[in-house]
Amino acid sequence: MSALGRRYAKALLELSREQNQTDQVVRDVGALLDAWKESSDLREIVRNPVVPKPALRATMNAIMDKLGTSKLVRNTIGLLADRSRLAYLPDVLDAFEELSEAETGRVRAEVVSAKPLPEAYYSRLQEKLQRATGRQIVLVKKQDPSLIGGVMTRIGDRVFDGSISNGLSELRETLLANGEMP
Amino acid sequence: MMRAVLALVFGLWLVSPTVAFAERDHGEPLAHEITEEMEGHDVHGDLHFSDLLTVDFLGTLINFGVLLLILGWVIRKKGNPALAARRAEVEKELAEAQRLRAEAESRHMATATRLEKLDQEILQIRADMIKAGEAERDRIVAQAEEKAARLRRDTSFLIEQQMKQLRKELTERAATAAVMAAQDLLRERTTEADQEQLAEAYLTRIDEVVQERDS
Repeated sequence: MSALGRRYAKALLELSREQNQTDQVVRDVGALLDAWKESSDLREIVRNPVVPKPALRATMNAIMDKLGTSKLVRNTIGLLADRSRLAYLPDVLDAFEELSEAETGRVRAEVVSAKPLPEAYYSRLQEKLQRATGRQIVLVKKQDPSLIGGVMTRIGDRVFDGSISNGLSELRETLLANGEMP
Repeated sequence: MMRAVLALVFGLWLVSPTVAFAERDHGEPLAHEITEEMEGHDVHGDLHFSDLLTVDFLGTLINFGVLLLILGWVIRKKGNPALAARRAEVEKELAEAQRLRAEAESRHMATATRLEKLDQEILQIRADMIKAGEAERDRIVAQAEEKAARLRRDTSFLIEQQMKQLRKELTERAATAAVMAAQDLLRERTTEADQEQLAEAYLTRIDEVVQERDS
């Protein structure tokens, strides 16, 4: 993690605290980090020095519009683009997650379900996750029909999977393990 | 040599009948002969063998015999150098012939011995060849058996591996098919109530995890 990334992350965290938007910024940063990890096109565009600055900024704005990113985070990304430092975007996002977890005790938890769940359920889940991790949980809600049913939560590298698709995967593994027995 | 010459002269002298019977040659025989001539030969008529055996004739024969003996003695004693040389040559040839014969016999013996040994050698070589052939046969048989055993092991291992692979693939296909079928079924039949129930079960499971960790 670069020192430059850490400097931008610290500035973003301080601003989010000042504007009392820490939870929102945590969610936005998490969503951007997921997009960065999942999209090879995004990584290639940002790292390509031939792409003109306005085109790069337009691309990033389009992505952030789709993700519903807050103004504070959009301004930070815009600043990086203006200064031709978007290549440091993953460093900034990683450093922000690390700093926010260390300084505010907040951890982003991505909750994925096959269909939307009631808000009351998310509140109960947040409480239980906070008990389980001992941290302040910032929920990021997502829907994925491939889960078929149930809920899956990802906190950092840890995954609590209670989905039907995961149950089916475990069933398949069990069948294979039993099938290989002599 | 001198003695031989003297002996030869003496022998020739003896041969002469006049010398041998000189005392009787003083006219008596001659007169007798004349008397007989005058009386004619009618008295004696035919010539008989007994008439030949006169003293003169016998003396001549004796002299001749003595001459032959002397000649034989001389020849034997001194001999002809050519005959002696011939004799020596013949003796030498005889000796050479004997030597050659002995050599031939020796060679024959050696050849016979070698032939006898050759037979033994042939027998030995044959025995060795048979032994070597048997050893080679045993080696080839052992090698073939070892190769066959190795092939059997390799084949068994290969078959076992392929069976394992097939079993694994079959199991995977069966498991995948079963899971896909279950997945399709669950997609169709999962209701809102099921979703809520699953969500509640998820919360319960988190509680259990927390309790397990705390305990």
